[in-house]
Amino acid sequence: MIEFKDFSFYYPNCKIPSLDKINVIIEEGEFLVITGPSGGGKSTFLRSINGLIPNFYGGKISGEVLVKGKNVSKTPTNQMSEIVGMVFQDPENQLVSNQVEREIAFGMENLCFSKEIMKKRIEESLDAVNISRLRDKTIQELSGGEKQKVAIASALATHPEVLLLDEPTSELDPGSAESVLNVIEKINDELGLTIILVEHRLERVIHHVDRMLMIDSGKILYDGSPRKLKSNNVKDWKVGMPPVTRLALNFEKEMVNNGMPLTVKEARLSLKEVLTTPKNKITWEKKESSKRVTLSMDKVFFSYDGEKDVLKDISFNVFEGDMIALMGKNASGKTTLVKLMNGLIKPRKGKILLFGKKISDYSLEELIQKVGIVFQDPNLHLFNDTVQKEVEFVLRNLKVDENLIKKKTEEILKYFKIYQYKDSYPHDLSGGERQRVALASVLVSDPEILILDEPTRGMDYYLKRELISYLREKAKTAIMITHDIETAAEFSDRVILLSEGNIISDGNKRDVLSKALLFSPQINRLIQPYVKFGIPDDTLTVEEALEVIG
Amino acid sequence: MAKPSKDNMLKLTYIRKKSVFHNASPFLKITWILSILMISVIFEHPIILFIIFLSPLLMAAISKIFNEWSKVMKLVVYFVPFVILFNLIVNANGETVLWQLPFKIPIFGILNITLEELMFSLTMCIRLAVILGAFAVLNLTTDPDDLLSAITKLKLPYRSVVVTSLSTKFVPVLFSDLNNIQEAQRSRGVDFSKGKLKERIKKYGAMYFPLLSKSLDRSVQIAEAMETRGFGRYSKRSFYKDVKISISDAFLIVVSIAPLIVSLYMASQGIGIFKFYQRIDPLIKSNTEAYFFATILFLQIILLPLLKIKGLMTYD
Repeated sequence: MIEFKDFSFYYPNCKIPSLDKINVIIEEGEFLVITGPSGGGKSTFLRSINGLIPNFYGGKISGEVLVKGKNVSKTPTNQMSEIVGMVFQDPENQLVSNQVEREIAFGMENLCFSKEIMKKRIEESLDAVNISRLRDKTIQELSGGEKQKVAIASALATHPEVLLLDEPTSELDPGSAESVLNVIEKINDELGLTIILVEHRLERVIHHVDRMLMIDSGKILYDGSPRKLKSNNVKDWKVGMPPVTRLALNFEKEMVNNGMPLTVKEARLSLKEVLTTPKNKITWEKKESSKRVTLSMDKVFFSYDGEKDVLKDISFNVFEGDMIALMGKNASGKTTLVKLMNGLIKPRKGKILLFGKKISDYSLEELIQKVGIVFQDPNLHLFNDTVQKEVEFVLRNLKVDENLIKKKTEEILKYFKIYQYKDSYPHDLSGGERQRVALASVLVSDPEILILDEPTRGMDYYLKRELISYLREKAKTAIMITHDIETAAEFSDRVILLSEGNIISDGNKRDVLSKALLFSPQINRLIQPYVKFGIPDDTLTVEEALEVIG
Repeated sequence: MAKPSKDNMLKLTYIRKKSVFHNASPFLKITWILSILMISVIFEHPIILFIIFLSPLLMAAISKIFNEWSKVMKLVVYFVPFVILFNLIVNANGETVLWQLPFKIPIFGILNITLEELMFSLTMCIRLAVILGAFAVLNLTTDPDDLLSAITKLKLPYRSVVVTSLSTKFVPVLFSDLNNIQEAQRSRGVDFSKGKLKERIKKYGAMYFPLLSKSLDRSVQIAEAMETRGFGRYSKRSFYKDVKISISDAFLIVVSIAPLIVSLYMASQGIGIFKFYQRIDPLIKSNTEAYFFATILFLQIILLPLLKIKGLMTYD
């Protein structure tokens, strides 16, 4: 069906290949997941299948890619669209119409389908992804997950034989992501479509797929069933396998059956022997917050339009040294809550005190020394000519001594491994690098309270770990908005759950995250049946589990 | 997370509602706005322009978009002093002096505020209000996709039409980007409310690059998405929702063009021509002129009850 023959690709003005002599054959009806670190070539691989590489991006190729016998690089992408459909990462930037039915019709209109066929196909595709109830809605009325389903339905409507998906869930909260992935699995299962999915949060998909490709530096490092993984395969990988798999990789000899466990349920069976005989008796320390209040909110309400409250009756304190993970579904009010903390918006009702003083009593200069925010989208942060100036910017605003500016900037650039780009234009860097520049540009001034809005989105496993260790080491008090439960478990001491503008849970991470139905990490779910054998019931991470079971 | 739009923000894009003008044929909307625009360009007569202005005004009222529409019109009101001031400085014409500036201004000399200048400025503002008002009504009541199908039916190349309609769709997105950038920069100590004019301009200038880079990213993504969905595969395309003209639509279209035809006749006969300088013309010069004004007024207004009747018929 799809064949890569010695395929290499160089982006324009680039001497290092983004794909390096790739040879792969993909059969009809396969469900394939492609994973790998940021910038490793997964998206490039995907785009070579429908000809966006090289027809849209330019650049140099050698070798060829054949899809159903067609040489992709010699066929315009809009012609390939008859065989290959594609769904992109960002739900906002791939929908072109105002209304759901019309959106689904768009591709068919381009291919000159008749009105009768369009009607029928719209019906079918709405059904295939279970969104018939949305047919008359406008696009603006939809949530991110619904938009992604509309994008999938639109791709299905032209009856492609291959569906490419480029990290379709990375902008979604866990619940919506789950339901989108279920839809993808269903269309592979029932319609027999060949599905190629790029994803780096493997724990959600890995058990559904037939085959996994791991691409790093333009080369395929692994090609095969994820169940056949061995620990020496995974050793140098910069991707995060699901926590249970990471745990299992340490016990290859003790495992009950041969396949690598990919889900909690599978791991419970294969690791039974290990889990029933924990070697060490450990009680996890619950780190208490200090007594020094840095920020306090008292009965705070907030509303954008004066009618509907986005935040309702929020009261809590942030203590010095707190590492807080702020979690909740999309649109539950997380970003709004942190914007209140540095005065970007003002509450409708209620009192907010920062170090005992009202926020409006601070000058902007004082305020940014107290509270620093790194927003989700690094592009918003970057407006200077070079990376160095970008990072120095806050310090200059604070009128820090020139020598100290130089020293601090160099230190942090080296820490985030972007020192070599110090004279580059920030917008020329890759997405991951831009994100690190944005982080550095706020972290450099050591604010008393550091706020990060989904900083790990799009980061691979290793970058994530580095960020977490940096924060634990250097940040005084930090609040991180995150969807990623595993990140929350590793980073935080305290977890706050928001739902529809209310705080529904606030406490030590071991209390909030263990035995929770929706928000508990894989490892915690794994060990629950084995608590009676002496594993503490609030074990959260792989490292902790390893400590206990030896 | 989608940002809830603020209440005081200008809304210039389609708001889905049910009203007689929302449901009207896109062809009718095109001829309606065309007729208004052309009349407002043909005449400088304050009375005619005022009559024409009634059309978008009443249309906004019956289309349930009056709140949003009046926000656009407020812009025009803010604009009035500038137009008057500008005219005052560059245009030293007119005989009927209302008030004289008590001091001399270098280069310009003594400035008089004349009736002629004042009337001219106000008339130009009405013209501006007509044009903006008509476009605001069209934008607020019309799904760009409907307009797209209609324009393509008129044999304009669909590629350029799609691109144009897409760009209007992303105007609100641009505003929300701008807001986000401003928040991010403020969080790093850029104070937009402080500094001399030059410094402030520099601060606002710094928002330009992130905005540009963001918009470029976005346009590349959209282009990719459109390409992978076969956009431009064939020189023609089909339409899922066809726009057809019914007999009642055709009749309404004729009604909407009628004022334009009358206007063209008037212009050819030299009726309704209005001179501001040196001495302002009387508002109504003859009975014939008055009759013609009444005719245009009638033809403008009659469209509304007709639309209403058509609406009643289709709802039943």
